[in-house]
Order: sequence, then structure tokens, then C-alpha cells
Amino acid sequence: MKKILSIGITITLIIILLLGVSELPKFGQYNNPANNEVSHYYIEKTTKDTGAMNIVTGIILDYRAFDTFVESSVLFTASIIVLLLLKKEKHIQGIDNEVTIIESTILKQVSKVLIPCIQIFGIYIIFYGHLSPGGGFAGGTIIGTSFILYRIIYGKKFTDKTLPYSKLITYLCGAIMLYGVLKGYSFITGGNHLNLPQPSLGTPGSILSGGFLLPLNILVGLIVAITIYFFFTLFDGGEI
Amino acid sequence: MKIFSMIMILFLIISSVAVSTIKNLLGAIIVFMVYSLMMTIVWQQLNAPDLAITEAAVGAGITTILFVLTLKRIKGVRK
Repeated sequence: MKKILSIGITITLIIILLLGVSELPKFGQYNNPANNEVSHYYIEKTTKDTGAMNIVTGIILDYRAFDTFVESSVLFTASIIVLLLLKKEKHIQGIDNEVTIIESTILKQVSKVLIPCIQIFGIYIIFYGHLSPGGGFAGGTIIGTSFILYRIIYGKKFTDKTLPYSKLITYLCGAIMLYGVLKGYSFITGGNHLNLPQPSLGTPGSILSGGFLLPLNILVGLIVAITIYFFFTLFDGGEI
Repeated sequence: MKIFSMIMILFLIISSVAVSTIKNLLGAIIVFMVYSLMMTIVWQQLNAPDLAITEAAVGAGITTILFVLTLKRIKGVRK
């Protein structure tokens, strides 16, 4: 009886959802509601307004920059809560927690070559965020992954020396505050005719262009990379 | 190109059903990672390279690491 009831409920739910899907406009048609004056405005004006070749970065770090700011603060809040809940004090020698370390000479030697390549690729994605696909979120994730690989292979003692907790938390808090200050400055001075100094948009296509886009991308990447590293270390051993 | 998209979507459906039916938890995580990788190609096909990069880094990289870590913590992997 229970089985028949659950099957009936599931099928009803599937039918309701599929009816909703069938009402959606067809993909890629000209008359779709998504194809309105907003997207035309973005496609025509983004490069002129923000200096970004990549329209997506122009939108998320210029037109919708406070949206990205709150997204970054979501990550920041998550890492702070995980720190509060899971971080163990160093002097308590209680239960022996097993930390993921892979003892292997081959892995160590391969990672010596591989980790710099991963990090350079992540830095490239962050720095070219306003010119080519990518940006702070994706590049920060890649750099954070390289930190995790570093920690898995070389162990806790080694990474504590190169990536100390006090430095990481300073960078995390500093990055999110600097993001707020920079974007707040451009928000206040942007439309109010205050005549305060503004970074020039430069020629679209070169790295040092786009005003605030490049520093904001770097800050977002920093926040994401450190948050992901925190998540891994705290879920793994509880120590950092 | 249309046939290719059809095959990708078919694989997406198959892997998403497989994730919920596989009993082996580690295998389910690997299939979930494969799902993310195929989603990356579908995003690329839909002219969204930004989303493709993010999906590859977050969906296939970080999510898998965190899932495997959780599995280790709850002693779900048997050696």
C-alpha cells in the first residue's frame, strides 16, 4: 500500500513538473522573453562602459558588483562558521585524528612539477578574467585545489610553514574588506559627479584595463582559494 | 552537432539515474564527477565557457574532494 502511494505521489509530481516544462518557451527563439532590451544593452555597451572584453565579468564585477560582494561574504561567513565549529585548539591532545597523507615518492616528484602548472593556470584565469572566459571564482577554485594537493602530499607540518593560519585569515578578512571599500568607492563616486580620481578604463584587450575589474577579480580569487583550503583542512583533521 | 548534444544529454540522464541507484558510495561519487564533466561539455556546447570552467573546477574538483573526505569521515570506504 505504502509503495503504491509513494509511486502515485512521485508520478503526479513528475507530471506536474513536466507540464511546467512544456509551458516554457522554445530554446533559442527570437521572441523569447529572455531576448529583451537588457541583453541588447549589455552586448552593445559593456565593453565601452567597463572596459571588459568578457561581458560576463563586466556584468558580475561592474553592473552587479554588490551581488558578487554578497556572494563572497557568503563564502566568508561559511568559512568563519566552519572555523568556529571544527577548529581544535593545539594544546588539547585528545583523540588521535587521522589526517589524509599519501606517502609516495612518485606522487611527491610528480607534484613538484604539476603544482606550479596548476597554480600558474589558476593565476592566468584570474588575471585574464576580464579578457577571456574565467574570473575570480573559477581561478580561485583552481588555486585552492592546488593548495589541497600540496597538503595531501606533503602533510600538515610542511604546509603550516608555507601557508600559516594567521596569514591566511588575515588575507581572507583583508580581501573582503578591500573589496567592499573599492566597490563602495566606485559606487559612490561613479554616478554623483564628485570628480574624485578614477582608474582609467584603458584600451580594451590589454591586461591593465577595465578599471576596478582586475583588482576585484584578484580579491574574489583570494577569498575563494582560502575558503576552499579552510574547508578541506577543517573537514579533514580539524587542525590548521 | 545535434546528434552529439543528444548523446551528451542521454549520458547525463543515464548517469544521474545511476548515481541514485548505485549501492557502492565511492562509485556513486565517481559517477557524479563524470556527470559534472559531461555538464561542462554541454555548457561549452551552449556557448557558455565561463560556466564550463566554473563547473569543471567546482563540480568535478572541489565537490568530489569534499564528498570523498566525508566518506572517509563516516567510514564509508572499505579498503
